[in-house]
Amino acid sequence: MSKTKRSKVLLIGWDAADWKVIDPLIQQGKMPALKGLIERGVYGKIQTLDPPLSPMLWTSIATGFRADKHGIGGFVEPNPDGTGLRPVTSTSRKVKAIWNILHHKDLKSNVVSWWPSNPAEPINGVMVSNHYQVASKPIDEEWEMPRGTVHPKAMSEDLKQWRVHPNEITLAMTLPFIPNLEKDEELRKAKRTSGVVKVIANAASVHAVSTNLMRTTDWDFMAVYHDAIDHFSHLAMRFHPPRRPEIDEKEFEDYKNVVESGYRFHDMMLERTLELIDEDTTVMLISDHGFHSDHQRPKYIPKEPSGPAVEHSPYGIFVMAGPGIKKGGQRVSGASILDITPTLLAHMDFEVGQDMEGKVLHGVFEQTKEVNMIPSWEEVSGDFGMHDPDLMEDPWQAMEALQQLVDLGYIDEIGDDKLLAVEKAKRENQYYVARNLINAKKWNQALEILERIFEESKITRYGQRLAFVYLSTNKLMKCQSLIDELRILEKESSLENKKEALKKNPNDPFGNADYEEPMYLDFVEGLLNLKINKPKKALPILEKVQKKNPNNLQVAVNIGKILNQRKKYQASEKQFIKALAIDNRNAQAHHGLGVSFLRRKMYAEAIEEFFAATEENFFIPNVHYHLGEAFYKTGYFNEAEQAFSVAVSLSPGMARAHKWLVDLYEHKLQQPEKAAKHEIFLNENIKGDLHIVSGVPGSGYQDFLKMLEENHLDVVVNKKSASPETRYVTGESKKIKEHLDWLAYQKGRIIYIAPQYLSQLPPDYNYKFIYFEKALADIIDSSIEKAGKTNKKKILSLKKLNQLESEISKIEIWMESQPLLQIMVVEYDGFKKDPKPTVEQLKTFFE
Amino acid sequence: MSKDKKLNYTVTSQGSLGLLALGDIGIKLWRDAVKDNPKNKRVKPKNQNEQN
Repeated sequence: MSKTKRSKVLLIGWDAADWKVIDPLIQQGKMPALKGLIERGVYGKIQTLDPPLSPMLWTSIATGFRADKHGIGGFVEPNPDGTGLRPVTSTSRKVKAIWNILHHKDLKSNVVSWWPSNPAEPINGVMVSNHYQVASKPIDEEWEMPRGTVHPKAMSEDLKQWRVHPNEITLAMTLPFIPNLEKDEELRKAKRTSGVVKVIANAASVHAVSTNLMRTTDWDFMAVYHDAIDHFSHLAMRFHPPRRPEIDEKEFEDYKNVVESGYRFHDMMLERTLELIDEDTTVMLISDHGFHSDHQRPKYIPKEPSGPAVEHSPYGIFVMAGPGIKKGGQRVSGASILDITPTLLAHMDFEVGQDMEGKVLHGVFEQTKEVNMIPSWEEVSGDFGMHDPDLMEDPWQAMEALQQLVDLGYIDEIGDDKLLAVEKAKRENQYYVARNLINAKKWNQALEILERIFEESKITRYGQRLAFVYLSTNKLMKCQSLIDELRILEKESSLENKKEALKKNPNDPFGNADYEEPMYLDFVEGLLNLKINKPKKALPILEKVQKKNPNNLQVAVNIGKILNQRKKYQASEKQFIKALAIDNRNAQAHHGLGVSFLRRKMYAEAIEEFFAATEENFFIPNVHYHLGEAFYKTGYFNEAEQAFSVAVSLSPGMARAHKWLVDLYEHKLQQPEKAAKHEIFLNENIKGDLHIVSGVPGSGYQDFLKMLEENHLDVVVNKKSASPETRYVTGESKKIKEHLDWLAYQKGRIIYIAPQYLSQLPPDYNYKFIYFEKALADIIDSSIEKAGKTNKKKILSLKKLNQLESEISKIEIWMESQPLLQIMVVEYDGFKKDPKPTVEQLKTFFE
Repeated sequence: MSKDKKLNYTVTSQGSLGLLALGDIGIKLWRDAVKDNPKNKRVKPKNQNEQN
């Protein structure tokens, strides 16, 4: 036992474990150990980072930082002398891992097989690196342990014995994975069978050495990483039931049990692991990402480095149980892999670095946790059990592990020209870091990397992400011209890929370049058209993408969002339902569907969807905001207040939520002292008053604005326009998001905003809105009159009528969704008869 | 929770996934059984370099 009486923490990593595989196995009673662990604590999904590449992710898990900070940029790294590649090493990590912090706190850690952890770090405790289990030679040759595998070195000889060589694995051990091996001699020689055997051996090695350390050493913290579920899944998830038509029937029969048996084997190992801890030990079991196991399984593996990662899904598993952790299998939401280190440090009552990019998962604790913060662990000096800065590793000792990555398809074959390979790998690592930066919306840093590596290489993948960054940073001309360039490059590379694939294996559907589709570029082009206000052009592009990729969740969610923005709520409902059919636990889809209901005044349905969204991810401020709106509309003011308060706590600068809270406290809950707090925020942050007029064509708003001009009120006009129809319609008012500076100069003036652009008005202004009311029948008459000579039957077409109704509803929806909106309704008839009272009222209204 | 698993079944040289799942003690028991009966029925992969 540890010298201190601090309770222990056991962190178990199951690479690629996914609830979609686990849930049915638990229901069938096939994973009892995991079921028991969940019931003792909490569980939920954990969000991965992009790109979902394990060495980067497991380092983010152990440090609380993203790749640009922690320095692990991919699977390989160049040798220090630049003459070749080696598997990524622990010496490349630039920040402290949790075990370094615990070393500094005099705690003992055992770390087993973490990726990357070679060479093992000189921590207080034992570290067995990720090279431990890799067998480099046949069983009849000496299986040496590579230098740096074990710390302390003195334990190396003893721990060596727990490695299991693939040649040791017996038929009896393999039959649960591949029952047909019993009778099929040929199947025993198959490459995929050998792969399964090797993964069993590696998993057994990691488990054996970790159980040995658990039994024989004193420890306070233990971290054990298993890569086997990821490897079983890459080998055989395509054969996991149900069989898809493109999958060969015999292969399906041979390998259909591999994934399920892999999970069950892990449950058996977990059972033993849990037997070796006491009740005071906290257990956290996590994966770094999930793995598509259903209709979302990709039909092809891209022919590119890290191509197999296309099989990864964005959500992994999170389970935590132990003293101080909620019990009873409660679900927690909103966990990210960046949260693991901050949460564990907080749980152990140690300081959390303010610079860590994850958060403490307060929802897991039984009681409110006071978290001590320090600016950064990186600024703390002293002994952290880290490597000497000048440590170098013999790269050739690492070549066997590198070959394993080649075998798994994660990296390209290393060519003769090693320098070229190093250059390619360096660029590829930079690409992964850039994607990680995009994932964090650190656009400028991503831009700097992507512009450079695309210019150097003209690799289309780099260009695609660069186009997305251009789009996200409003460099729209650059985005369009890059898309044009990429179209040409993609056409050329697609032809080459096809030739290559046919040369390699014409019968392998997973290697066939015909499956490759330039979806990402279409997706970016669709979003670009949306941004330049061409939704009519954007939608067909995205719909084309959807047609080719009917199971792509993000495409459905984005089309749904576009339709919501365009106020096409029935169509958006269909898209979000489609998205939920792909993944019924997607928070964005529940949220979008809720907004679609909310705007159609289907409040009960909206509330249900917003609750579903918060269950999946509690930390989306807009979900709480819209939930507040729905409660407000249904008269549940206390619930609305709670929802808006959560929105503000998650996003303190959300002005519109503060506005709703002022409204609620002042007018519904009679708590003026609380309203005052939010008013202070608004006074400090609201940029001023904007006076808005809106109206549909035929409502007579032009006459109204003309009259205001004549009465010396300051109305914004389009000086370039010669027609009275467009005199008040400025270019800026159609693209408000792009002209926020212009808007700031219009304070105190009267601006006409067409109904479809009202939703672009930013929340950090107070709005005084003049709603010009005219009976629909009169608007129709005006429209018919305007059509004049071309409309001899004097009938308004159904299409026009629909358009009119849609425009009117856009105004109503915007008004409904605006807190603290001051509205003055001007009746057309009264104004027409005698405009003077209206003008006087307006002057008072604007004061 | 006991650290010393009591086994109530016979360990054969063929071993089993269950033995592997017991960790170090399972492997020790199995290897001891193999020593007694080295003629095992194995799936024989090629060496690690050739496997994939």
